[in-house]
Amino acid sequence: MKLCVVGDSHVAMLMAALRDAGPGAPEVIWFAKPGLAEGEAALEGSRLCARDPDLVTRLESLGTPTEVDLDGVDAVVFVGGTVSAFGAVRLLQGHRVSGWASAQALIAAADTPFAAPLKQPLISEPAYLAALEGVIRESVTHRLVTGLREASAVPVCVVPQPLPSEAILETENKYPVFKRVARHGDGPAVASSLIAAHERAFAGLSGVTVFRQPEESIGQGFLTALAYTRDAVRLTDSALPQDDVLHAGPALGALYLAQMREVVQALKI
Amino acid sequence: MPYSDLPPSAFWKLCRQTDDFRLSDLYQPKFALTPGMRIATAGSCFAQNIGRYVRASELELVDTEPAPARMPAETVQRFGYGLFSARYGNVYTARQLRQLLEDAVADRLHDCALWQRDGRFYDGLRPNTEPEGLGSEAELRAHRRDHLRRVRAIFDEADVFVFTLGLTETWQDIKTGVVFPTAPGVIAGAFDSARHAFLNLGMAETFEDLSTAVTLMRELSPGLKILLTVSPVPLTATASGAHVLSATTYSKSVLRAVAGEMAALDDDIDYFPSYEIITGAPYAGAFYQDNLRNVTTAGVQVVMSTFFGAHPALAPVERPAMATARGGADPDEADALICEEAMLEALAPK
Repeated sequence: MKLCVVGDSHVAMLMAALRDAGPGAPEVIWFAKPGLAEGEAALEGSRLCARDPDLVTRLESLGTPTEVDLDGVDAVVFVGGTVSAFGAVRLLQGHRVSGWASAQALIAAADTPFAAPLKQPLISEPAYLAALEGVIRESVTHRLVTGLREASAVPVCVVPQPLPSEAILETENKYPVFKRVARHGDGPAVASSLIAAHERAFAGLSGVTVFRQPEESIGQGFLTALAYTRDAVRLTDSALPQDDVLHAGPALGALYLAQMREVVQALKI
Repeated sequence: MPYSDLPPSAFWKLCRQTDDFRLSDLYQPKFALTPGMRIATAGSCFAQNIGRYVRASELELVDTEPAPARMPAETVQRFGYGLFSARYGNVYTARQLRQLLEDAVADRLHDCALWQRDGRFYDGLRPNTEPEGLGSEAELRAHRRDHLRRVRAIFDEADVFVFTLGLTETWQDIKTGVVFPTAPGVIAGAFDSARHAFLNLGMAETFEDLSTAVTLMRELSPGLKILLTVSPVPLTATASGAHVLSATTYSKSVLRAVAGEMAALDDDIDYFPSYEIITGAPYAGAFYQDNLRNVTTAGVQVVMSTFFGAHPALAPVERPAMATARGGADPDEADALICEEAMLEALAPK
């Protein structure tokens, strides 16, 4: 099996998993740089071309040519580059989702005659989902997938950015909105909204499979369990800072690789 | 002699002699707008343009119900955020504005406006702001109440309230008199001829509704200035039984007359003639799109350039190249009809 993996720093979990994999591991072309952004890579038909000097340098260090014909692989895997849990939480900086269970008290407060306006206004669940879907549709990954679909029938897998580490709740003076969301019990709803928004955004594109983060890797309903963030590395295979809460390690990468095998095999049949 | 001292803009012929029918003389504001003034907006679809231009100007658009940070622009618009100063959607009639303000002051909900469709719940007074509805009646009631409090909060902030009158036709709940922006059953809810009735508001009713709305606004904000405009967008359809052209003419005539009367009676109420700019004969319908209903981008820009151009303290809006007043083979060709009024031209300054 030959894959091309396109994406940002979260590609490293697959690299680390592959490094540790035994025989029969897929052959992979890595096309990645941290924070891969709009315009840094572009499609010319089915050829993916690096447009950014930093990306070119990264590709050289990965042994990847600056142009890759995606029709020549069994599947293209896009990692990250859509919307993350951080982006999902950012939408809740000043609002609460009225359709979630945690909003019951707010709903009761709002429906009290002559009460003051709510400090955190309500946003409906459809509006929240539509916002997430909109962010995904404007993302670099969605644009590349859409462009690729017009040029090629190669199977596409989309791996959204993993949920943050459970360690995020232990950080001091950081991620206050995330912690507030967790305190209100809204974390699982954020996670399920991310899944739904990704599935809606890529629905209708044939041959595109959106991967869900495997259940066994999820802690507290909306975070990546510590066992799956352990040994997370950079694209250069060097260690991440001790306090990194963004990246997952090879254990999660291995679960995704297993999913990819199944999907690509099924599509081949 | 009357007329002899009047400016050129008072004479059709002299206006016609200029490229733009003396557009810059069309509007002399009663009160000046200066940078930093806080402007609130409400009205029909056309009023959304005002909010957009205010937002891009040195004025401040009051927005008491803003969208979540980083919500994509398309979603913001689809869910009714940022179109007006709160998320009330289009307020087409003076009756609807009055009702909104009365509800905000009284913190009042109407059971007849709690609509359903396919198990989802919709606010019948702004059904388009949640196109997929809400999950329960309790959720809907909470959204509505919080919205009303934010409507009220507009008047804690606004220096000027801009209202664009759009229609006289509406649908009401017979028992309560509650009016809806769309007929029940169009977006959600269910039409029941025993409960719902068509209403075409006349001059007196529109004047009373608007006067009451102004009184309510002044109670909330005594120094508030009010700017009225009339939407130039024709009716999409009429339920009046008349031809849609006649119905449009009636509706716009009532609204234009009421706006003019209100402005004439109150120093703190002004009228801005966006309606005249778009619909006026000198511009020969040039500002309408091919459907003869929607206003072109250039038309909106001409309106806004006229408005901002009348307020020298504000940065101007560029006026696009525009078609001139329609030229004819002989502009002074005699009217075949006898028209005493035409004699007034003789008194125009040379």
